Amino acid sequence: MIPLTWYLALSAVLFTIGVVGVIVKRNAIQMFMCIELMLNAVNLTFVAFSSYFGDVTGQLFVFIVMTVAAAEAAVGLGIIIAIFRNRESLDVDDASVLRL
Amino acid sequence: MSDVLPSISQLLFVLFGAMALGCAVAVVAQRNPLYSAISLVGVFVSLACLYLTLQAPFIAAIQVIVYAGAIMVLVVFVIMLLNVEEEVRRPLRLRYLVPVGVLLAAVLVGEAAFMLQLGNYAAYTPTMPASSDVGLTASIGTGMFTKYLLPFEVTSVLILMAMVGAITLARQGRTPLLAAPGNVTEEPAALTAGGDVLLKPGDTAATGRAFAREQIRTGDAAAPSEVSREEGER
Amino acid sequence: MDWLSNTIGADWARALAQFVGINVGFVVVLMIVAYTVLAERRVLGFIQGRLGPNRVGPGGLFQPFADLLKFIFKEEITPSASTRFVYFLAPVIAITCALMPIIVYPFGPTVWLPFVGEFSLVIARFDIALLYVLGITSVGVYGITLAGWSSNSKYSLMGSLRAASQMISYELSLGLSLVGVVLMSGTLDLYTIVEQQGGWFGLKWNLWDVSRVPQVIGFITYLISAIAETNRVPFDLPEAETELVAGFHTEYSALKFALFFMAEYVNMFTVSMLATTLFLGGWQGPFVDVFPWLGVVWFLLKVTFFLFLYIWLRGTLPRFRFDQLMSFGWKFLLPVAILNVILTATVLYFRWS
Repeated sequence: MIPLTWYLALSAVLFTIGVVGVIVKRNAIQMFMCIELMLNAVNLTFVAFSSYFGDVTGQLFVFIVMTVAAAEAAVGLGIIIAIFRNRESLDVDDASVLRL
Repeated sequence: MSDVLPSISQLLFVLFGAMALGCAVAVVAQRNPLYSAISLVGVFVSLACLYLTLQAPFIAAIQVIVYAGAIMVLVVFVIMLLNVEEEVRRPLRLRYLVPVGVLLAAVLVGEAAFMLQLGNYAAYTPTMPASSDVGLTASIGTGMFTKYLLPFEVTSVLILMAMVGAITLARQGRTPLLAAPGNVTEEPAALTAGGDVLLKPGDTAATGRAFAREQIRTGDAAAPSEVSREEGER
Repeated sequence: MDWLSNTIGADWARALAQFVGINVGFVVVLMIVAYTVLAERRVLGFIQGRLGPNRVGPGGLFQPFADLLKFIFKEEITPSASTRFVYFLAPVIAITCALMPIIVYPFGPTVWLPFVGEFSLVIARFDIALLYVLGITSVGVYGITLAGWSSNSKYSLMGSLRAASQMISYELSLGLSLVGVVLMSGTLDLYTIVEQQGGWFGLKWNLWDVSRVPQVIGFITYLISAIAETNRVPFDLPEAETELVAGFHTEYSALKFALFFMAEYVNMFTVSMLATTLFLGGWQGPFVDVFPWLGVVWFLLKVTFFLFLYIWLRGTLPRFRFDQLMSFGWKFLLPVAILNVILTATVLYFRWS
């Protein structure tokens, strides 16, 4: 059988890759995608615990996290589009001052 | 046969885990954002398969429907609409941080390996039950509508807020009217003494009219009343 | 399953039976799709007052093979300024996501097969079958979106963005129109839903089942959403020849175009199967309990009726303009689907309390 620690280790590695992506990437959309990667790593942890301990709370929390991620995606991409309209660039280094 | 079957579940875990890790590394390593998005869809699908190995079929289906089927479609749409270019590689300016980063990463990996190998976790690691009812739709539905009803309702309000926010952000102010029949007003263009079309300040509200007037001014079109008036005058 | 189970173990026997079932289903679907293409051309011809193709074989019955040979031997043109990986990936995604849902549809009741014993004619039976179908349909949007983008041509991009936004808009009303059936049946498993439609001499279908809730509104909403999902007339602006050359598959030739073409017809077939399973009773019909194999015949008859309905609509109706299409989907069909859910839930509450 698969010990629980395998799933947790996989989730930790995915989370770390997401963190590295947020730090290294400059494109706003790619940073957003790495944030989604981090959220999914956490989802994997929740589902693993819920399955191994027989508690449905973990999976319900995953449901809520997915809904929040969907809402965040909608608003976040709206903000990215609005920034792109004003600055003509999606590079977050170019958006580091408040003035256009 | 009984010693072959557990290794099938291990094989499935290694397969889907490797797919997830490979696609995740591709998300970070790709410079083209569309390839990043496709790799992220690969991560989501392999995570859905991992949820299936964890006996959570409902969450696996919801993962595919919501993440891979809705959120990533939105991201791909935005990438296509904004025509996002590839990242240009800029030279590193803080070169001394690279060996520091490698050192710290090695310290982190060493610590994690130390903890995993030498820690005594036997009391805390359960084994997965052979077949559990936790992941079925019925148990998730029961939990959601009895014990966790309040988070569910709050989530619906959250989605409503997100919808309102997204529509407000994406609006472009007043959308200009098309010069289509029914939008262009019927009154004739006002003329100055020299016969040019007079554009009053603040005329942009009736863009159809302004558009028609511009066309008359540049000579692409003739105002009907203007033609008749000139012919009448001559 | 007795002889096989005793030989190689019960799990492997079931896996082998499912594998054989997948292959049989794959071949059957491709054959049906090939003859649907022929049927469409013939029936459209009759509607329009002419004969369709009737030269290749008796009555044109070998026309699909002639078409297949033509597609294989055509020249593969790859546009030079396109992103190669995505250009090759898009038809693969389209055809894969079109073919994947066929494993959950029950083709017939439990029949007796040689070597295997009692076998219920559904390839995979699990308790989230309906969500699986909806999920795969959602992922199928990528095939169209990536096809238009990677062709690097403005007609393709316009066509693909329009088709993709149309598909994701109508996915909502598609899913909601099925919620009424799920409320009535209490399960997402398609085999159980079909089993619950037995009775009344095999005619107690969800469409007119007055002992629970007749799902007429849900059926009509589902049908319209399904026609929009599969990009068929009257919702086929993204691929109409007079509007956008050929939409998102403008730059595809030969076998890749054949894959898109097949994917559209397999999608048609899949949504027809879902409609018969959920609303028309699947394999239920008169005399099925006496002759179990008659269930397969009833199933195929109902699916054929839906395919004929698709072709009939194509020959009869004009096309929606794109903004009319989108406002119809969001402003009319989605509220009607929500209304259906509310009505069904209310009636069920009062019946069961």
